[in-house]
Amino acid sequence: MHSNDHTPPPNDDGTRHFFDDPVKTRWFFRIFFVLCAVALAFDVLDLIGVGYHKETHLGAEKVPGFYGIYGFAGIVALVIVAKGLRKVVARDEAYDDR
Amino acid sequence: MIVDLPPALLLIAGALVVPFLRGPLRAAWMVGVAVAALVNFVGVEHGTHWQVGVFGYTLELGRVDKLGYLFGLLFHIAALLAVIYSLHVKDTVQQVAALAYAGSAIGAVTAGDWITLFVWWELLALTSVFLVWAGRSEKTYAAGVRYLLVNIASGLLLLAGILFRTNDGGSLSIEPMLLGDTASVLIFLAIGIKCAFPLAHGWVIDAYPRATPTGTVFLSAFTTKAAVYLLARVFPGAEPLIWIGLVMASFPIFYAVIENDLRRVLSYSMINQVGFMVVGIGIGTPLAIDGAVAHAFADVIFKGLLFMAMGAVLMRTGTANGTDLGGLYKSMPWTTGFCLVGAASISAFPLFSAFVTKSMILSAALAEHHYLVWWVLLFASAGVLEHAGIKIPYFAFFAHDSGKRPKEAPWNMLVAMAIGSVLCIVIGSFPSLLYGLLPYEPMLHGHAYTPYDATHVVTQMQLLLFAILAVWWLMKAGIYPPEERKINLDVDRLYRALARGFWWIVTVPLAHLGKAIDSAVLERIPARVVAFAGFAHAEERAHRGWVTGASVLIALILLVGYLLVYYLSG
Repeated sequence: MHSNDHTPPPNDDGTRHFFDDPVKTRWFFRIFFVLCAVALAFDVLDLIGVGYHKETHLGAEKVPGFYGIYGFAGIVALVIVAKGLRKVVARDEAYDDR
Repeated sequence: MIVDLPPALLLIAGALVVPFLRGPLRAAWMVGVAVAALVNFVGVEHGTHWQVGVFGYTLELGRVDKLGYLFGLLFHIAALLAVIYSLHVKDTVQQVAALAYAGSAIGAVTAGDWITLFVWWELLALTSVFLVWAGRSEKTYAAGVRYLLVNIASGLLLLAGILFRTNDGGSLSIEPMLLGDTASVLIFLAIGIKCAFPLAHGWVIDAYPRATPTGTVFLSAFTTKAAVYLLARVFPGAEPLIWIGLVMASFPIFYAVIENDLRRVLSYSMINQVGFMVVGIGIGTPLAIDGAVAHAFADVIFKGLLFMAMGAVLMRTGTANGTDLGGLYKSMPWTTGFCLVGAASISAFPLFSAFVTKSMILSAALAEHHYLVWWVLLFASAGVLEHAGIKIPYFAFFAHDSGKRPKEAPWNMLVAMAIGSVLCIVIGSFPSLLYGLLPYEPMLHGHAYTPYDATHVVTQMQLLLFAILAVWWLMKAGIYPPEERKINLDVDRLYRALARGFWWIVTVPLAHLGKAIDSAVLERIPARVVAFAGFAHAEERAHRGWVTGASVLIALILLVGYLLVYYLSG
């Protein structure tokens, strides 16, 4: 979640905090993407019937990657609706002092 | 047990001694009382203790069964953690109020009869309001008054329900009841207010973010969870709870996305988590009830942990607003780490507490073919991750560097957060410890419930990782709404607007009406009659005319309301 568009200068002792170091940040996200891929790969194993069997109760759950898709789509929908909500309910901080 | 006293009285008695002690002695006393109360409670045998006869009624001051024991134990742990967390506080009012508040909560979950419960129910409100007032500003004073009004109203509804119940020949003993008659509806609403049912939730998001950094840690543990306990005790399987709980689990997550005050985000998050519990109680099967109370246990600790982390941030920087924070991990690494444990726990990552508790509620929903419930709760689970799992730690400790380099939290806060973190991981990694305390043995499809199977771990990781991926993508694409210095209207502001409207009606049109009645009727009554009746002098009457007129009218409205309820129920 850290954009690398600005790189703060190092500390006085020459060290950098973790997320100020573009190399570490890059690795952090690489590992995260690999984890996502691994989580998805289990559904492939389930599909070809090797080593992992997904226990399901609903038809939808059988869709490969169902939980990933639902999680991703759920958050996108949540954030877009919340932005709409902000248009309706947001007020200036001075609202309470009227 | 160590002493033969109802468990609640230990903390209350301990609170009464606090004002007479100073400095390190007072700190040692507070920790000592909390530890002694915990040790004492662990040794209390299950059963009914301390029965007292009053006016022909039998009061059960201490009923301890599996459900009561679980919540009693939880409240003792929460009290100890919060006491350690607030050891640096030098404020007698807060310290006395906090211990008495914890004692009241323990009293409520060990009460065996409605009268005893009512007393603790009102004390919950009366003691805790001082934690809001302790902010000692005009805003916290007003928020405290609103908090008190709502919570006392809950107590009055409870009392009315109890009176209707005894009037109908019902027992004073607290037993499960069917939702239907007036008594049960009144009691249901009374619990609903303290449980933060939708539309009755305004007091949580109004008062909790305004209490002191340490006060909110106490507040977050007790009142709403005492209400969850009582729902599980009295209304297990009441179907309306499923729908009420679903609304609670879902609407706050939208507000949480756009809220700037991170302690208010956590207050929304609390309503969301209580929603899961309320759904579980509504489903009402043994697994669902187990899930609800186990999740309450986990929630008090991880939500307490998150409130502790934000409290430390607020104390060190003077703000809990996302717009003013960021980059704090550089100077508060321990607080950051503990906050991340709380975030992983509430998000239900494997090995963390909610993974083994919340899943029972979702599994119970599927087993009972509540498919819509399952879809909504799964969506809400992703939403939890967004606001409590990512937003809280991200905007406080990472995000854009605010340039603030506050000192790390004081040692006592770190100790409390460390213990809370360990508990979150122990519950999540060794679930049988908690499962052994649950009212029922957790069973699914005839087998012992096992949270750790390959499918559960993989599907949950997929849900969470891709939800994080979605947040990352939304931020990168510039879609994610930035924090803004704004407040968001919710029912708390609606109530305040209504109250202002009511005040206007009383002070303007009703006051004019009162004056008109005065001049048209009262002042024309012959002076002798006035003197005979002992009325006040005319100028004095004109002076306070509107007050009398308005109060008579309010009394009249209340009377009519009471009569309506009385006749409708008869």
